[in-house]
Amino acid sequence: MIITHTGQHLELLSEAAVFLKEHSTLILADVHLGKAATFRAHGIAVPDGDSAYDLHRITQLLLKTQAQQLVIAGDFLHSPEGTFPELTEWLAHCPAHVSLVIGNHDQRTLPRLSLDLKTLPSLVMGNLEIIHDPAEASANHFSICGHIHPVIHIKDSQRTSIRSACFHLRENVLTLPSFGTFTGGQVIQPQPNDRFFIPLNDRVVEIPQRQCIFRKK
Amino acid sequence: MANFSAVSPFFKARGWKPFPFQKETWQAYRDGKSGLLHAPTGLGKTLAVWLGPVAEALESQETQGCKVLWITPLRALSQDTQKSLQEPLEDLGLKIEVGIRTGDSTAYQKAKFNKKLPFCLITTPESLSLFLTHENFRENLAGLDAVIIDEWHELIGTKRGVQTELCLARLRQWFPKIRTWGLSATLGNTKEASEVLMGKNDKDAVIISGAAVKKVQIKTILPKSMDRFPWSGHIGTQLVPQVAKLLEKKETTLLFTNTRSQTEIWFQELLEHHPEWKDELAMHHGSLDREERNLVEERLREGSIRCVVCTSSLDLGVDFSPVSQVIQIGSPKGIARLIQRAGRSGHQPGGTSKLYCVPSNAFELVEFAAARDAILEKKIEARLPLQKPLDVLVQHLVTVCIGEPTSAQDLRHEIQSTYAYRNLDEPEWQWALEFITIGGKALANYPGFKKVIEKDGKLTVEDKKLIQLQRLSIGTIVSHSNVSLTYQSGRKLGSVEERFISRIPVGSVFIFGGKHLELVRIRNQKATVKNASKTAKGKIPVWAGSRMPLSNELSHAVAQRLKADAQDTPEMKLIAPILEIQRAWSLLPHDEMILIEYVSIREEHHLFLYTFAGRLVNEGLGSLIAWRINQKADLLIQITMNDYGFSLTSNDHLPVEEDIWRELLSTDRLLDDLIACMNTAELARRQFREIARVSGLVLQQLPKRGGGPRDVQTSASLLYEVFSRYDSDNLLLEQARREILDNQLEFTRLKITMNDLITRPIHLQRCDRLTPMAFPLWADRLQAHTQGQDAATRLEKMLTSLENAAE
Repeated sequence: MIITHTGQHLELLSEAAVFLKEHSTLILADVHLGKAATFRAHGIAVPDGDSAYDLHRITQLLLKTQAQQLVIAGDFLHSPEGTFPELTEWLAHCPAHVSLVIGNHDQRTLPRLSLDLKTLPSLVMGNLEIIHDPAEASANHFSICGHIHPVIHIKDSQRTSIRSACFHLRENVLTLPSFGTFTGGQVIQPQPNDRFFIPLNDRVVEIPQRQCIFRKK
Repeated sequence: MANFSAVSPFFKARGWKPFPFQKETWQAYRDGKSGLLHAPTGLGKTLAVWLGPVAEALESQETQGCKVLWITPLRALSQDTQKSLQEPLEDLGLKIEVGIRTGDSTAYQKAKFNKKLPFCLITTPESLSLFLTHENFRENLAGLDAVIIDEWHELIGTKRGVQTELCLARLRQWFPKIRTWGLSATLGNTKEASEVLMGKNDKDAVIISGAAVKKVQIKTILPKSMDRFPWSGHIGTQLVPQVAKLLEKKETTLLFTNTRSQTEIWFQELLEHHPEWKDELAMHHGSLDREERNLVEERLREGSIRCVVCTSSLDLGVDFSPVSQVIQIGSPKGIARLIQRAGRSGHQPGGTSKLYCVPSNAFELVEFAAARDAILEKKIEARLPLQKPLDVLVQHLVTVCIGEPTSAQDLRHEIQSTYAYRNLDEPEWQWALEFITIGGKALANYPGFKKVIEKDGKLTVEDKKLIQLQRLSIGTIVSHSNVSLTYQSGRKLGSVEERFISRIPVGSVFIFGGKHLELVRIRNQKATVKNASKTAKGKIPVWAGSRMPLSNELSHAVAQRLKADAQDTPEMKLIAPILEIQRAWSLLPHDEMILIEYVSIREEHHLFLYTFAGRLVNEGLGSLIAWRINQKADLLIQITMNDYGFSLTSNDHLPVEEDIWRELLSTDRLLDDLIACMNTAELARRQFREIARVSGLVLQQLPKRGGGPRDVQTSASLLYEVFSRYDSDNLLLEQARREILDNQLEFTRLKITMNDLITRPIHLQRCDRLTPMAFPLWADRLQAHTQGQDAATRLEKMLTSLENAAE
């Protein structure tokens, strides 16, 4: 689904990412690589598999979109304990140029690793900025961010509802769903003029606001 | 019989005479035996077991060192227990210390008990587990004579019970000669309850009954007319005036309700009727602050109170002798529970327990009549023990390895001496060992995991942080997220569920503990409130987990009542017109036929089927039937259940042909179908929450201070997905499925029910409107769950219909 906002054409992908054709840029957020490994380091027996799978999903998306640039809107890595050896290898073979907008999790983790990775506090492309935390969005840009892991409850009949990760557009801020497989979500309380988009089968659809209900976990 | 002169001064001082069962218990204890003592509340069970060790101390004059561990299921009971254990000591001139160590103890007390233990230590299963992680515990217990498990009927059948079994196994391993004594209410399976408690040591154990059964008198408060009496619901405030009349005699009354919300509602209603009773009415439920509850209990003991409105929070524990009558609001749910509650009154020897039942809907009249039948026939519920829950096992294994390094072989021997794990097989044992040492399957999927390590042939934990984490997460109780309530002055009121309080806007009024409160702010799991004017309208909190199923025995008794259809009790006479309507509009169902009613209301199609098999079985059966219907059709079906039956609702037509129903109810492929439909119903995922918590995958109650492990927070349902994808053979997933089958859906009972159902004739009945039996199920539809069609299909459908509507 393509939405147009302040002159920017954004293609929302069902894989929980945004593609900017004009800039040949793929944007995604909150991968949390090494989360399961962090658990294991704390004596909690969670199996591995997600991190490798998530990297594989990113590669697939880059091949599909032919993007030349990949921007991660923060929280690429989960924690200092969750080391992930395959990452260096993956970065070396990545078909696109990778930039990481530093998220709160990255901040603690990056100093421990020496990765061949361009990192920056925010990234500006014309009137568009990519940041991690929507709370830090500047008023004169259209911002794409992560951090929140937005989720909505959608009313699908009188008495039933479905929970789904979503793209959340509020005023000038688009918050992306979390990309990582082993990540949870936070229910968004809809405000007037909010727009919600969810991945559904192979496409992204907009959910009318009256179908969204606020329900705490 | 031996001479019990040592303890007789205590009885003489009070002018009492020991009951035969007390003497029997003392004798058995003196002979070095273990045993289970079962009797109704208030007959002196505590004295019976306590005076055994006391008599020995009197004779030997050995008062130092810990001789007795007293395990109580509720830490709130520990102080009462302490008082009643101390009571005889003065008369007997015995100077021994009775101490308490629970989660409520101060840091000072905790530190003190880690060094030296009192003669008798009162503690909970969780605190006992915690003790096992301290390396000097064994040393401090040297000389232990007995472990006494109070209110065993509350623990058996729960994971806390299994935790207790495991702790006992460790204590017996250390001190093979200790005596184990259980105190229990009478159960349908007393012998099994004893076997579970004793584990492999049960050969010499005795079972002693104090059931010189007190007489129980049950009367129902009858509505003056049935015309306006509701067919469903569970508030029942229509009968407030009649109940208030019962309270006019100024004698102490306990008014039991089934939920905390109901307690609040009834308290308000009674107060509105009799504002002048303001200081004579009190409330008692589990969310009120402990201080508040202590005050109420104190006044009960003094007899200075007219009525206490309470929940099961007053089901347990020591006695309040002055209680003269007990009132039960709403369904009794179970026979044992009703007897227990009735037993709260009439304490004088030879006294009669008086219980008044107050129906909150018409069908509860039948339940009361049925409960009386069952009590007469002594059909009391059994509490079935849990079989080898692996989450409890892995938690316990880590616990004991911290306290005292042990070889795998010795550990296994110890574990299998318990009843719960007597049949633990090799693959299960290997899995548990791998889970605590390498995380999961060797060489696959669990790199970097560390917890229990092997050192000099023994399993142990060395990492201080991991030890700390384990101590914080011991226990098997999974609680809902609670927010504490305090006044601006800092005075505590109690706690409410986060779900409730988060929906109350700041400045709004709600009712708690009988008080009208205005919400000032919520911060850090703490809600600050101030008093609101009494006239302000406010919401009453709803607490989760308040729906209990009707017991098997009681459901059966209800079906019997309907089948007999005799107007031989006041309750049955009164409900006769409603049963007549049921018969006129449809049929009166019972447990020797299957009645399926179908009704269409506002483009929705409803099917109602009555089994009288209890809520849990109906939930399983409803899900199964909906799933089977969906194997042929593609419908969205909502399932509602209660104790009598279940209903299916759909916007499309549901099958109403007898041969199709025979197929739907078939027991062929029952287990496979049930497992398949469970996956779609997501029951296993829900169940995984508790398993993840107990096995240590999800951390609870982490201290906020310091760089705590905030990186390891996740939800159980996300973990469930990760396990399903990358380690689908993990036995914890298997356990989630098994727990759903055994506990939640009561697979055994479901199978028996279905085997029985297929032999019954089927009556398919088209109805023009909802019958009295159908109405409660229809009214409960807000609690429905859904079966069939995955989320994507449902969303596509919704979007299509929105588009159509827009055109």
